[in-house]
Amino acid sequence: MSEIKVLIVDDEVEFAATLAERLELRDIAAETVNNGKDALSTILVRTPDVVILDLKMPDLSGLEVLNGIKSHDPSIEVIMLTGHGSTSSGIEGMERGAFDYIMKPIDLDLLLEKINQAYEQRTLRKQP
Amino acid sequence: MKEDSEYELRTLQLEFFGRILAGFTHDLKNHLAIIKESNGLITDMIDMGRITDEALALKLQKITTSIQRRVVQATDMANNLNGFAHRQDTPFSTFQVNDLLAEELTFLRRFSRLREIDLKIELREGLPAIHNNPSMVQYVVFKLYTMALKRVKNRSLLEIISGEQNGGVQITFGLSGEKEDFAKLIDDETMGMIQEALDTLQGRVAELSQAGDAKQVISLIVPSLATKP
Repeated sequence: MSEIKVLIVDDEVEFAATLAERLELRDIAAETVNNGKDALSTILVRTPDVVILDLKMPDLSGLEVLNGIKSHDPSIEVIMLTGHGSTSSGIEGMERGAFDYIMKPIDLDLLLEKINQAYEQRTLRKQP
Repeated sequence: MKEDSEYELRTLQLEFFGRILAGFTHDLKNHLAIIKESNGLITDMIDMGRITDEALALKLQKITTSIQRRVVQATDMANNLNGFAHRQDTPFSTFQVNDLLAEELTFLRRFSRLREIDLKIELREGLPAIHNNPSMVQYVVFKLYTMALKRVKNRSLLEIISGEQNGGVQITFGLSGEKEDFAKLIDDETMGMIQEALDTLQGRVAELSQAGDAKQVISLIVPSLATKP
């Protein structure tokens, strides 16, 4: 098992669970939550390296959750999931500190590449 | 005055339609994302040797490949439909006409396919971005396209080509093959339906070919407007 710990935050339960399973098959430890509030409470007890965060959720928006994560621990890297017509929100997310954004339906190879890059960046940030 | 309020009502209706469509395509993409990941998970299991029955693995591989191909096509359609819906957000904007045509022709292809008319599209590279009303351009293209389809018999050829024209763009509709009987290539009924839109766009429609030419060509010119008229 690799060291990378990923938290998937998406209100689409099946999507989050299936993506987690695919990441697990690639030796990435993946946990899922299905709303913004659970995401913010989870990072208090188990710090992930990378959060994969859906932009549109019914309770807290992805951008609000991003703000919460970054205020708690700026070294946690966040990859936003956006729709085709919402790239401006993805860019806004990056301006607020997200590592990158990726469009849904996702390209898994591209996501894996971004997870690895985000993890490397977090490792560098944590070095004294 | 009455015309103004009718126009305003129509604009509001279009805005409403756009919002509904944009929300719908967003949900559709969520469903496609789940199908894609579930299909990907089966592919992973085959690739990682979790399915030991070789014949079953081979059969599943064929099925997952087909699902993957269809998901890609459906995603492309959903993206184009989403872009199409969002065109209503800002009546006047700066856009690439090739993006606009690619988006719209995703939906128009089926009309020529049903008529067995070969649709050839040539979107020339390097066109300037123009400032105009993208939704209105799509409407005029749709009317000219459907008119063009009526002018030819089945198994003919319709070529749609984009190009630059004095800082604006030109879209041509070229018709080859056996023609239907018609008095005028560009009929009054179609012109009546698009004239107001052309006025808004400050664009023009003209016939470039002569009667009796093997290939008949309709041209739509859309300028780049400096400011909202």
